[in-house]
Amino acid sequence: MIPAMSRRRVVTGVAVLGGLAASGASYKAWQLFSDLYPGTPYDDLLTLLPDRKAAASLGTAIIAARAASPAPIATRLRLHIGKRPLQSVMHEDVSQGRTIEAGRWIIPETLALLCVLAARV
Amino acid sequence: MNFGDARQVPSGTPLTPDLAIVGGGPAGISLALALANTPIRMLLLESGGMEFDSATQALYAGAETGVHYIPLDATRMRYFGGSTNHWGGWSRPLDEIDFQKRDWMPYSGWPFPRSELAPYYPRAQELIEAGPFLYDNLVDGKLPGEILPLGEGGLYTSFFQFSQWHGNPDHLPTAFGKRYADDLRKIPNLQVMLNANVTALRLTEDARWIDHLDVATLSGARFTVKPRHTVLACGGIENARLLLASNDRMPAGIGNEHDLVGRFFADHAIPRNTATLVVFSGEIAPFYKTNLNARGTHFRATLAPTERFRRGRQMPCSLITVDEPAQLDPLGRDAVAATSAALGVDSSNARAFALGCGLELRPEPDRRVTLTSERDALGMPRLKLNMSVSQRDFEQYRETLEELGRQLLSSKVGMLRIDRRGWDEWMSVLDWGNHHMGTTRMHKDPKQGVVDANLQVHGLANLFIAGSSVFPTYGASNPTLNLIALTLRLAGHLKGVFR
Repeated sequence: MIPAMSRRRVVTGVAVLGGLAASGASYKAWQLFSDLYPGTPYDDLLTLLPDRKAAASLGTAIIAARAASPAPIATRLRLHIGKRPLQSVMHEDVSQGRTIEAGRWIIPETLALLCVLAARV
Repeated sequence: MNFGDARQVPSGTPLTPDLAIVGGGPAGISLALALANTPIRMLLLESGGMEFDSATQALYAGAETGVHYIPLDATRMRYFGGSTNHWGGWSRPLDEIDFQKRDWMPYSGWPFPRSELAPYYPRAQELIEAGPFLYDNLVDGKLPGEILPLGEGGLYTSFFQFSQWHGNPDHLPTAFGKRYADDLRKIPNLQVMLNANVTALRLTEDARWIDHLDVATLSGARFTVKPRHTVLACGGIENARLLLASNDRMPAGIGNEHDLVGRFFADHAIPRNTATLVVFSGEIAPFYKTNLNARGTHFRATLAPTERFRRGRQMPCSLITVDEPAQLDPLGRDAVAATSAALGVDSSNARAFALGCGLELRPEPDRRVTLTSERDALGMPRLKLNMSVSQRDFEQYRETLEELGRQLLSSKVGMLRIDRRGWDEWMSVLDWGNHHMGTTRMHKDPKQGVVDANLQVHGLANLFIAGSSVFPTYGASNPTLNLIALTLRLAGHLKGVFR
């Protein structure tokens, strides 16, 4: 059961979001909310990243070294990840030696591709 | 008093010991201690005195070509105790695989397995005063901290132990000259001659025996020593120099019929700050970061490649050490944040450390010392060292680091950044271990080695060589403990020779 005060906050929040949407909230407006991003065709993948901002930073370092466009990366990731949790996919990556150097850091390949995606959108 | 000064020996005086030991470093001193109280009358000839002397040290000067190396008169010490006067005390036995011939590593393999040396390690450990011989068995007991859980993979936690003077951890390490001078003075069958420089080995007419040794002092005295047997124990560079310079009967030098003396020189490449290790929890056992005392020894952890990994990747050994704390740049902080979050691990207390390492070089015949036309104050030809290290050596170490990074992720313990890429970056952080090896390599076949498995120079009945110059393959472990064990084995053999 939600306490009365909390219920008021939830209602207010929903109203604000609704108002923004109704007024055709711009991309800039989304940035008022930290960790909220405009919708992309890859949100099913990007929402797997708990720290998308840091991932995008790392992805930028990878892009500097490799050409990358988001659509084929997303296709590859969807095939590879399927419905599995990201942690288990990463564990499989490192178990099978699928790591990559990203800005000289050794990270799982799937995470590297997600980072690139985060940097590209 | 069995310590004499060669400068006081009248010129022309012949000395006739049963055994001449040329060199008073860890090998020569260990050999003398091992043959104490036997019927073998020993004469140990040491170039220097009990303290450093710049004129004596200058006898070591030489030229260098190839990649940058430490000057030849700075990478070793020429006075009683030899290079234990400047060693760090790091000790670790060679691994089983270091002794084995590997088809993918040309010139590799010792003429016997590690088990042949194993009985001599405990006494060698006593001589270096590193406490009980534990090393990788340290993991079997209680330690002040947890072993890094790396899980399955190519690297595991191994251990160095440290030489400590009289077992005192505040006084590292054991300098053999000063530590054992009093013990040597008590040996009735030993005479030690300081300031005695052997400048040449003279062969009998049939060139199958050493007839006598020429000895000179910087004060101008010259005399000869006519021993029944001789052991060269002057270090990984000087053993070769003495053989090459003794070329009056054999123009290529003694033991050099197959052009091997001086070749295959090796040292451990020690690139600094090779990688950055991040531990997500921030907690890493103190024995990874520094030397600690526990279980009667002074020790430190190292990350070593397993034999399986080395075979699988066909690579030499490397020993990784965790060094000083490191700061992460913004990209590093993002890499840690993104990765730990994706792994579901808290990294709010993460800490970073620089990694260093010691790398084994592959045996390489062109990495060598040769004589030059320059002469030292005693008239001996000086040496030129041609030093090399290959891009492949660094690339294979990168593979080891990649594997460590993979294991850290797999166990969700941390992650790793490889800080060096490309030749220039590796060379900019490259240092050397002062571990001189290989120039009088051991092999049962005279065409492939200067000495046989008993350290006897092929074709010469009464000349032996002690020290790391006989190591045909090097491993990544520091050589002192290992060369002492090998010298103790030689002592056993010599007892039989004199029987």
